[in-house]
Amino acid sequence: MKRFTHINATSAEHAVSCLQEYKDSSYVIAGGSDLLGCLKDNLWMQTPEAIVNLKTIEGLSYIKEEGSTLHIGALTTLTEVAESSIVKKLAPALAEAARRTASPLLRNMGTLGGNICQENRCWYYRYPSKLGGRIDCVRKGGTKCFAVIGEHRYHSIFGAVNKCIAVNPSDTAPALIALNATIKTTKRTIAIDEFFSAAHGAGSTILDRDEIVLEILVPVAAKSAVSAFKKIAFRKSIDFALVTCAIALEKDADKITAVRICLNGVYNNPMRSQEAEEFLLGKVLTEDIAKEAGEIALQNAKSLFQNIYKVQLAKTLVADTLLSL
Amino acid sequence: MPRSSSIGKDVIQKDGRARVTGEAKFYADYQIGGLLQTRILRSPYPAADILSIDTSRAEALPGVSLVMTHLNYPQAFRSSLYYVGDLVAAVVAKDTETAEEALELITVEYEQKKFVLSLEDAMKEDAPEVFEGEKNNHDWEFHAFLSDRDPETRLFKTKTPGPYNGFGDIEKGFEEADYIIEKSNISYALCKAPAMESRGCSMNYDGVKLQVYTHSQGMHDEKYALAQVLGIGQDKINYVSPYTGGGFGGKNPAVQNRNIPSHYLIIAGLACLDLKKPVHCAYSREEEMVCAWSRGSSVDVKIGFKKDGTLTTMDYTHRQETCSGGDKWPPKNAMLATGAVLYSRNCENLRAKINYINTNRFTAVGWQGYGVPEGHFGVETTMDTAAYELGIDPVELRKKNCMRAGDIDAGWDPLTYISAYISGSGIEECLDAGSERVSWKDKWQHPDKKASRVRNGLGVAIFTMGAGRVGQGNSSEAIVKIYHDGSVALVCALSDMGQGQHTVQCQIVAETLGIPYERVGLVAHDTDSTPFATLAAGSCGTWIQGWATYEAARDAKKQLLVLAAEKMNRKPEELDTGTNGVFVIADPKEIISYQDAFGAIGHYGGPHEIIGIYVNNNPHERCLKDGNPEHILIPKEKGAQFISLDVDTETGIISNIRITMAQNVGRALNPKIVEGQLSTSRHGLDNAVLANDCIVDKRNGWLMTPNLVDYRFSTALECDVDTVILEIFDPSHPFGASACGEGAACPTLAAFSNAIYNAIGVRLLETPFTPEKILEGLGKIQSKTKKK
Repeated sequence: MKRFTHINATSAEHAVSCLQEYKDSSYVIAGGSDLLGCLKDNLWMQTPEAIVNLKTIEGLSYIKEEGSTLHIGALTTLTEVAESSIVKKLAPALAEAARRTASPLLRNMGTLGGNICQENRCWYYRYPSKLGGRIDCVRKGGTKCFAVIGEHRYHSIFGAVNKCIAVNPSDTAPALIALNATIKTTKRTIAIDEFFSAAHGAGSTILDRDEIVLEILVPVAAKSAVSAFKKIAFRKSIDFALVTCAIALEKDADKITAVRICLNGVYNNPMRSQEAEEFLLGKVLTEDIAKEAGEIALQNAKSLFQNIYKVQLAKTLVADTLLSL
Repeated sequence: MPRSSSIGKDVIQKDGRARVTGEAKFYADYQIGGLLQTRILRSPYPAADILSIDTSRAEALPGVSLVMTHLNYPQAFRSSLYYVGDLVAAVVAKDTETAEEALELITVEYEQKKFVLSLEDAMKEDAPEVFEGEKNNHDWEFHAFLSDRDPETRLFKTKTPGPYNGFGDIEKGFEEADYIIEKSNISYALCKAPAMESRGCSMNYDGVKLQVYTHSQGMHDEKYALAQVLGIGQDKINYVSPYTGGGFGGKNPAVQNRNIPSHYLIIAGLACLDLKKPVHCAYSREEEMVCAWSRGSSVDVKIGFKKDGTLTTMDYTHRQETCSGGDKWPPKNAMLATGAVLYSRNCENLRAKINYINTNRFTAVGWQGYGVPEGHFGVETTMDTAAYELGIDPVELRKKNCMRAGDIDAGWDPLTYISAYISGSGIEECLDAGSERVSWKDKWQHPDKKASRVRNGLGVAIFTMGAGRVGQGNSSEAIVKIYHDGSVALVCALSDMGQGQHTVQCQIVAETLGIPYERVGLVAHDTDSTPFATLAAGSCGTWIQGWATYEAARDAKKQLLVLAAEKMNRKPEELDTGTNGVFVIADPKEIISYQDAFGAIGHYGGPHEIIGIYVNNNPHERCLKDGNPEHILIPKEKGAQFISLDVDTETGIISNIRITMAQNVGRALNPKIVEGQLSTSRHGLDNAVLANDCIVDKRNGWLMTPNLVDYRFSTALECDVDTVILEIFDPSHPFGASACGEGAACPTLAAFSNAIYNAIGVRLLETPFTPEKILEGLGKIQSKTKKK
């Protein structure tokens, strides 16, 4: 790993001022489970001069219910989210998503704020400099995406954004989208549907370089509301997902009155399936209806040579998640 | 009881406590003052020549001690590069950061060349040559045809070089067969041995000797090879290898072979000798991942049967990807799966042909199974196909044809013997015991009868693996010392990399002397203090080293009994050694302590210690049937594996995997260790169900999965391994044991593929068994291309 300056931030304001001082040559670190891998592999074109540690900021780790909103501090660990009785009760999809992320050790390190700001896992993007030098793909400012004509078995089945076909790796992101969460930062409050931006390629957000996530707000839905999260991965939770699906749903006398469906691992950003949502409104959930919703959610898929199977996986997962509610 | 016994007991492993508590000192734990660090510059291209290389800026960087390239160190570096990650240069500096910084200051001008990245492409007529002037596709040099079968002993008397390995008349065999079952291109993807410790070493020249601290699977073999490459006498090197952080056979360096990844030893050795300073050279995980791939084979199998299912004829073709040079030897072991050994009972005609093929896909070595899993994957999936087509229960078809004790091993290792007797089998018993454990008769159902979304499948495969080779080169030595306080030391260099050989060898000493296991200590950590021991490979420790250890203990005991006999006024043959001393066999109450047996020691007394010694230039005389040197008994690992799994027909995801491993080990010298060894059968799952493969970017030759996030090793999470241990005494071992190690890797992929077939009626003959392939087989998706 190359040398850099490490700054323990004393407050969010201090952290922001450090980011402003080092401009484009700085990154924040919380759990570090993603950032350290990037640094060790020296995969960016420019090595950061400074790393700003957020863990030293007090008061950013909490889970509390206030009024009709669940407040979760950005530094709350995934273990805390997964094990919280409040989260399990009010936002089961989020608790399950946190529980299905990585391994116990990584869940103890990783934070919810960090989990939604992860870099993507594209093999080309992540290629380590040690083996003949890094790969300067389009996501890093290069000219082309190597995955489109190369290895893309785990890549997007809904096309590219700015030529990049990597997918967002976060497990908690689709849960937060299904639950219609809001993200509070040092600058503003952002609706979760607006938070992820593929403008710079997969795994990116609309955050400015000097902006830090402070809190995640999840609205507490009506009593009849239910939510669920499912993940398909090779080694259960340990691996990054092939496909995940989170669904939040409200019913009135068996009829679906509100529903939000989000898939991840299928596109640059976590992707809502609004057509499937519309189809489900007013319907009574049956096996056939669930299957049809899955078909509709994937009807516009544009799979590549190696990832046709992911369409089948995603369809099935939408239906399975619906039927688990 | 005057004698203690530890054979067959779960004694605590000699290395166990230190490993578990973290007290164990692995090579990297040795603190050496002023240790210099090495980093390596690696090739960005799969094939290239270095036109020029400028190291002046790197050399000028403060803190850099040495920059090594093919110009100043042609022994370690080449001007031609054969894979992405091949070695271009190395920097030795005061710390890793400085060395890494210096790497960026080296300027290299490359000329890129054409390259080839797959077995299939490398075999094409117009394929680019990996090594210029040499065809990629090599015929095996040691094909041998066996003839002159003695009708009485069934042994072959003549071996002649030929175009293939085998015997009988293959054409006639198929002409006379009632059924012929044929499968081709059965492909086992390249995969990595799951050792957690990556390759590396530290070296220190102390003014007299080069002290080499490293992991090892065979210290003496490695020392010999390193001395040759460094051009110094073997007496000038002490190889220190107290613990090895996993090896699985894949960490066996061959320093003289430029294409096997032992460069860390050469680089550190040359730098240390020239700088006269201690040097550390180790691979990062990413660097580790570009070396030492294995499997990578494509196999065709054709089997001829009689109406009743008797297997009479087998045609076997094996193509092995040996990457850029590397290890070409694994495919010879695939012969074990054929009519040469596993199906030798009824097979009268065998043709087995081997080719090995170079590509620019990194480097190759063998690991656990060493060629045998590839053979079994081909033969055992074809046997399964035969069972369904002939309408015979898969278990019964194997019981009818599998090798038995006394059947003929038709020379699978053609360099050492013509043919020999298989000393023990028990495969039929393993099939019965395993069937009972998994309730085969109740649970096995034809796939046509299954219709639910999630379908259970039950598969079986039998296996055999070598348990030791014969011939003087396969020797091993041991020294057993008895001290006058009754403690004992086994001096033995056999490597323990987790497989438990240190423990088992000490049990053999304890049992032979009749003393408690705890009293046997071990001297095993470096070459200066130990005699030669065989490489811990081929699962031969229990047999080859076992005989040496046993005989050395007997030699020491004999000497002690002579000493004691004088003191007791008895004849040595009336006496035996035991827990508390030397006793009279006929009257165990007549006993003297070890101390008294020695008598006074020191300047005016007798000997300080007794030294028993033995060199096992095997085969040992007890491995000869009727004492006839032509009638060798060779042990094998052998057994049957059953796999139960569930396939989700909507997602292609496999779950609830349970492996039942039934193995006849002759005698379980330490049952817990045996269980541990059998549980390594889960490593096959890396390649079966975790989508692992050596995935390269086809245009650039980059390894896409150079870490343990993207390349998945299987763990206890993936499956349960249930063990069924059979103990049918093997006459070729002093305690009736055979071996228990690599066998566990051999049947898994075949049993897995057979279980998938049993679940969904889809025959998958190409690993890994991904959701994509399963969904395609089920007709749920149509892939746009056949190839991945």
